[in-house]
Amino acid sequence: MKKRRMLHVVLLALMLLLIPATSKAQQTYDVSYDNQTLEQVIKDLKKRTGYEFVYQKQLLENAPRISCNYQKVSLHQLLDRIFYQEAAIDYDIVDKTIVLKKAEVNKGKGRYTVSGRITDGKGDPLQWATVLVEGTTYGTTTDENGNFKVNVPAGERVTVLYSFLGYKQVRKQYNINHNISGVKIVLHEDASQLGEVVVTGYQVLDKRSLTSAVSSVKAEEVLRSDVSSIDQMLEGKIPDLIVSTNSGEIGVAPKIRIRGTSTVIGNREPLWVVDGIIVRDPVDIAPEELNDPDYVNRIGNAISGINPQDIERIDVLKDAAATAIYGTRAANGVIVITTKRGSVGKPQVSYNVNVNYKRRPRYSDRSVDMMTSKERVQFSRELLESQYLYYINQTFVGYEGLLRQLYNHEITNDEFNESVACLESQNTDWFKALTNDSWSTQHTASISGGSQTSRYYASLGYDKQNDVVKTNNSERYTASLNFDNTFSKLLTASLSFNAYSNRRHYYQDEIAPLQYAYTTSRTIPLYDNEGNYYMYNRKYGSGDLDLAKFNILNELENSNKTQNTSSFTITSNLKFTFTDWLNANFVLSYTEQSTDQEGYWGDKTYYVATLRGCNFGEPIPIESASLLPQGGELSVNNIHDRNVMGRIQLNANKYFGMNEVHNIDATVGFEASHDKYRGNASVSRGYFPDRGLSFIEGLDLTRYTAYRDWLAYNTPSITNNLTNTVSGYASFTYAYAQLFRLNINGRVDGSNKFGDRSNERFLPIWSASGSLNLKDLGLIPVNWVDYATLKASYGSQGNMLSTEYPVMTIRKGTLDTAWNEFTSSINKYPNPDLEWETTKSYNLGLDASFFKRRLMFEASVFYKKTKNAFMNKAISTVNGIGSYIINGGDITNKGYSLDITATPIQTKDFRWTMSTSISKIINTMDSRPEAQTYDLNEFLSGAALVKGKSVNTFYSYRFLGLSPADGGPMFDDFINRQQELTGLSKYDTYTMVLTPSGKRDPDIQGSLINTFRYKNWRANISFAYSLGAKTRLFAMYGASNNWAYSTNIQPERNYSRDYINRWKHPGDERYTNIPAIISSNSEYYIKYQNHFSSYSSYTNNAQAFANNPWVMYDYSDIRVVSADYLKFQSGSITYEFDSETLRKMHLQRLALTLSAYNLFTIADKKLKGQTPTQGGFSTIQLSDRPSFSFGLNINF
Amino acid sequence: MKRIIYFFVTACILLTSSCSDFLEEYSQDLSRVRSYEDLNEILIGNAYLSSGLVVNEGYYINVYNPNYMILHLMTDELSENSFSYDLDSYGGLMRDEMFPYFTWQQNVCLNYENRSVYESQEAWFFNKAYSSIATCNMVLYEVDNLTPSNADEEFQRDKIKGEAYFLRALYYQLLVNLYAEPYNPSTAAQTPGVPLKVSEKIEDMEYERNSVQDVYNQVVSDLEKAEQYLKNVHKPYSIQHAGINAVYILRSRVALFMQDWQNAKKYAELSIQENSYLRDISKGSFEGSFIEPKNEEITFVMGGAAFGNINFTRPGETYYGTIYSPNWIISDHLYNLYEEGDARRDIFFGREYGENNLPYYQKIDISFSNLGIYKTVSDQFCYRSAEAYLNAAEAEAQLGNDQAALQHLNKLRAARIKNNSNVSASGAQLIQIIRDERQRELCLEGVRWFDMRRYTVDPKYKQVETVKHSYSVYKLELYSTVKSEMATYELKSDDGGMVLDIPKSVREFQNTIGGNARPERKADIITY
Repeated sequence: MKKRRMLHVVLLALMLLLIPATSKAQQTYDVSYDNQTLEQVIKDLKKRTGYEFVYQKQLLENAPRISCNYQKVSLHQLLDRIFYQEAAIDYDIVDKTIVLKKAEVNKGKGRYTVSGRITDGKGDPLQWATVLVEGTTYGTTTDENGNFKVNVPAGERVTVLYSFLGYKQVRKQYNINHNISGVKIVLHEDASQLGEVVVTGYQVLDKRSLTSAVSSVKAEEVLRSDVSSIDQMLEGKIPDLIVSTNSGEIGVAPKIRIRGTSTVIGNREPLWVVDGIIVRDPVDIAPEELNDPDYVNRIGNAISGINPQDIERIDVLKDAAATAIYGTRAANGVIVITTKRGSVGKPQVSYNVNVNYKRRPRYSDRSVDMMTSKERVQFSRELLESQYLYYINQTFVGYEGLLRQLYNHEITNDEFNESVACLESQNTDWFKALTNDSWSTQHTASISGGSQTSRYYASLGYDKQNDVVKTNNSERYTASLNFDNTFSKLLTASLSFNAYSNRRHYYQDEIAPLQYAYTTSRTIPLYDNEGNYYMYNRKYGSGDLDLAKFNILNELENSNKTQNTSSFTITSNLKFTFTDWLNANFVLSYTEQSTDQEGYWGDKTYYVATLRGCNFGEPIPIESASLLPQGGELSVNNIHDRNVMGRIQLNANKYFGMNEVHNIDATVGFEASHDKYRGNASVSRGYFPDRGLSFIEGLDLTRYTAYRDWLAYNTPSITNNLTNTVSGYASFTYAYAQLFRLNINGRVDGSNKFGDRSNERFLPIWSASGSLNLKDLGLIPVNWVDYATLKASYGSQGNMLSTEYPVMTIRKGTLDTAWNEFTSSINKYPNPDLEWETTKSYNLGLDASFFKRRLMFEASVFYKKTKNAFMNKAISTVNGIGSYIINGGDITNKGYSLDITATPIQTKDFRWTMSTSISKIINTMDSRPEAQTYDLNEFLSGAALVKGKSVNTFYSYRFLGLSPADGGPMFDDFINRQQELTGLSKYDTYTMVLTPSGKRDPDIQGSLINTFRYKNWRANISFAYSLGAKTRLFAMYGASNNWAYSTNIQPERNYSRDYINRWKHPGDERYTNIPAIISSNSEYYIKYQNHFSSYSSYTNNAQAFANNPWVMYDYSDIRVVSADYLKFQSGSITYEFDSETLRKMHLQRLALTLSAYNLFTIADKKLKGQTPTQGGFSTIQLSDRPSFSFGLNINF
Repeated sequence: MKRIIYFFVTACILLTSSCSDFLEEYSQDLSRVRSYEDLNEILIGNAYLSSGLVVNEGYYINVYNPNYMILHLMTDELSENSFSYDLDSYGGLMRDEMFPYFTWQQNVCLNYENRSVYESQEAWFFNKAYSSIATCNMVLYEVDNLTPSNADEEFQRDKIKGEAYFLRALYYQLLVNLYAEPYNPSTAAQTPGVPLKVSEKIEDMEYERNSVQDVYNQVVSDLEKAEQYLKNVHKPYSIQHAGINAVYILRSRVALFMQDWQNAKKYAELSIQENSYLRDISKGSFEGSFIEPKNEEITFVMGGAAFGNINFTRPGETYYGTIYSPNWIISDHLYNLYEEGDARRDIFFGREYGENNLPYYQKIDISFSNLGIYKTVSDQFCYRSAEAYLNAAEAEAQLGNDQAALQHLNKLRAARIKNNSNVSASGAQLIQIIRDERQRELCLEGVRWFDMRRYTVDPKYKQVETVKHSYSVYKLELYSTVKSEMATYELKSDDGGMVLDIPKSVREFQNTIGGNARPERKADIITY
């Protein structure tokens, strides 16, 4: 409550500052009257507008009956037409009251007339266009031929305004001392008034005359309340844009690919632009890491701090024609976010709250097919019966732990049986211990409004997300202020201020609670009989004494990881309007962003015990070996980033020629930016957070020599990057009478980047594109097509690596204590012949609308060819280095997308709109990589590039079945024709022995969104689907290359129920594909210990391609399943209170929403509930938890 | 209109004019080569081998930069410690990985069980040398792009050039002695050596092996240039930098390898002229360790002390005697070479306390209390005046000047042996005495492997050594390990086992390089 009151105070203060003196409603009305009396009309208008009417009764006595039909007219226009023109009644609006009075006709002295004709850009007459003498009530509207005649008082420089809804207003000045006739006015459409625009960050373009591939979406159409960042909401919502999330944890930034992957070693993420300003990630992450399909980005990206409620719209620039203006950095596409701005009208205060409930994972979930305690004990018993020999160097706990105690005569047989019975009924619920059903809330309060001269939007947001994993949560405060003011006809200024502060709290990566819950035996208790944590001895090293006590709750309680990010941006934009066709923008933006990451391990943790060499509270047995004698460990990483950007842009938009049929729209600009990124990272030991956040002092280092050595080489590191860039860009468009349009864009950049060769090898980024208005050209002579636009573009983009230099570069090192001299090392050998990586892209699109906008579609096909893609080529090590960057790769991306929006049913009370989007992207690697470039693991994980295959294609072993003799797995591994593999390179061997299993990225991703509106009810249901990707089932053997671990059964671990159905006796191979467990004392053990290809007789002249059959099994084709899915993404139902109720409550709007997300996913049965987007390549994240939300929206 | 354009242009000019510094190159730590000091730093950072470091990391001892430790393992100077073994320890891992080198296996990437191990290490020995050579090539290229502005800079330029030539010679000499047949004057021109690369350009091409003769010619030519540029560097900044004396010793060593006795003699004598000091240890009592920076015998050292890696197992065993339970111990052959009164035996080696009383290495101080500090001395690349005396003696003996040979030999012995009586011999006997003295003096400093090789092609005094190394196998019982068998391998120094194969990854990458036919080595197995 207190928080809300604070909010109100702040909002009130903002209101006082910002509310302008006058304000006019900018609402539009659709009215239709058939021979009604003026009284009836007034009554109706009262109801519609909420305005009171004041007039003398006799005023209406001789009034005519009204018959008219107006669509989308403003209150002023409505009153003008009905009262002034039809009934010769003048009006005034005072507050919420309309005062009617008799019009004073023919007043004033020396009156003349101005007459002429108003047409649109195509030369067609405009009926109902308004002609108004500025500052007076003199005015009229045009007739059906566009003709008008208006009375004008005499005077010099009298301004006459010509306007029509949806068109740009034209103002003309006349010296009125005679009648003026034959005035020709051409009004041009103003797309921004209709909302049919595209925002590119540099320009606002009319959607219908767009020549490039841009998809736009209103933020309110994609908003969901179970996530807190807009990028996570885009999945399946935008054609050609693929969003993949490999973790369901809160705050994890997804991977986004626009039209495929066109670079091999560069960054593949798109560029984010907020209100025309390029924004950067809070922390630099290396492209290799970001490109890794298994990387989970918890740090967040450039837009993690933007409250989705503040966003007005999102425009995704996809082809080269759209992105050329951003230069090289936009090679992966651009996502432009436009935030909300105030609109003319009285202040609107709005408050929005969402409460979200997320369901935690449970053992009963389909995705958790793990053994119960009883099954686990039974499994151990079976192993015991088969005389399974455990690997000694591991943690002995549970059944095996007791067994060991029994063998060592520490317990008696009776005690053993008693304890085993206990174990069988233990069934520790790890999920319950580590996760909870979580509640999250989001609050946003905003105020907006304005007059003709100034408009404002301000908001405050609070977002608290609690993850199902107990330790994880995120809190975010956002503030946003957008203020626009028109000072004069010459100058308009807008000022934006955005700030946020985000605090995230996570577990330390090493603990991975979900992974632990999933894989830990349920026979291990969580608490002992006294209710204390049950601690078991966990092995961490190879020595007999390398044991430390472990309990996961204790671990979580005594460690954490936090990230505090705060940022603010101030942007000012001055717009000078010199003439009606020429203006200039001056933009200045300043951003300051800081991220503080802290990781802490307390002295009570197992982690610290392993460093210390003993459990908490015990004396250290070998002081000289202890790496952390006292306290805990604290790692700190602080990053501070400061960015200043300035831009001057000149825009000209001029119509000329007869009837103004020619139009030139040109923009030139110059931009400079300065970015200073500074980070420092350190790790400290001996930390006591509960003793005044202090560190240990005065430790006797001669006793703790290992710690002393650690200290000697533990130095903090500082990162200091300074990036300055200057750029020039231009865009030029010629259009002829809205029929066709040609556009050219280009940009050049220069930077201070060390060794930047874009300065010396000049390659401008440019594009050319065009569009044809098929309908207006008369090519589609049917009425049911509203419009159809065909567009085509070509663009050339280049990319230069900043890590390669034409001369040798050296890295300055520090003092070498052995030499007592400073050292340097060679950073890179010269690479003088490197060329630009160039991508040529073609786009062909068709936008059309049918049946009065009941059916609209946007279709596009694209073809992108990247030539000279940078590749890391292996070269002879005789050169001194093993690899070198060359221009080697050719990559093709092609695909199509279709976006359909339909309104199948539209009646007064019921409306059903449906939209769907499909995008298919095929990318192939056209060139053959070097034969030795990729290793086996890269083929198995999909990181290897193979000629003719898609990027991210992964390979598997061909599984044949289980051996009837021993139940071990058998593969088609050339064992009987080894000579065929003799002398082959890695590439040839792997492509021959392994079979391509598919790719990790989907071909087709799309969505189906249905919206229903019935009276005050609105329902929304959306599905997302993905086709063409493949994934692996989670590994059964841990896929370790170390033979000792891969087949080893670990007492600490829980196992999948799959193991129950394993091969046990000859003949079982007919029913199961789960191999037998073969103990190290079995006669068959040696057969499966190593694969023949790892032996000397073989490897002397051929490639090893497998370590052992167990790893092969995990990576075999039998473990590959389709990752196709159909997901219930979201469903919601909203009730809008009607105006009658609202009036009583003194509210403008009140809406209640109930929503559900991720309720179910239909996917391959073999996945057994394993999330298809998060396959067996990575650790278990149990993403996409089902969740439910309740939302409330109030407008005052 | 004019006003507007004026306005815009002014704004543009204002923005651009202030950015003359704005686009100046910036990087936190990267730079181009701008001075001789930069080149000197690169030589230290990339061309010289890094100093060794042994750090206690809690569970295990980590040895950084062990460099070419295989040089010791393959000789007759070490043998297996078959007394204790911990299956999982770090030391055990070392033992497993080093097995194929220790027993001269055909494929050095496969352990006793034929599983592949340590593949990257195989190529490391080859690639590291080429990477340092590439740095020398780059430095030699870059140094001529700078112009010295005064005499001091000219001196610096010459010093850098000289060190770069010296190092390139050193690495090619190392490569050709690891990966090719020993130099035999009559066949060297036909024997494949290693690929020669002396240009700074990175070339994506298939390299071929130059002949052993070509490689030696390159080494000699580089050393001649090094001699020319370093002629004024009598006292380098530290023993880690090569000065003229290091060039003399290497030149004389190379001449011995080439059976060029005249030059071997000439350069050994030049070296003795430069530094004739021999540390007198004959009294036996001794402070510190023998190879240490303050020993003035030492002219040049490079790289760390690999013995950390060979000796240490785990700190957890300190109580059981860590450095006293190494994986490999001093061989009986070496230990028994020392006569009574030879102070070197007890100074170079210690003996384990406890029942096994095993001899261990202490020529360099690798004791536990000195961990965590960079070793500035090396057990692989250590050039000192004793070698000059031995080289001179050997060259004189080969030339038939027995008296001169004996004079050099006895000078060295006098500094080493208590109450030394001068030896006197001639011909083959003298050569044998000098060779034994060489073993006693230079043991475990990285020359023995090369000496064993060259003796097999000596025209007059050919000598083939037979070396036996054994490897014990331990079996995993339920909760402990027991020794189950011991395999013994035999090397005859002319059986082809003394040439390493070109690393597999290098061969695979370019078929043009070809390999060396290394023989299969059969074990003699005793089962317990």
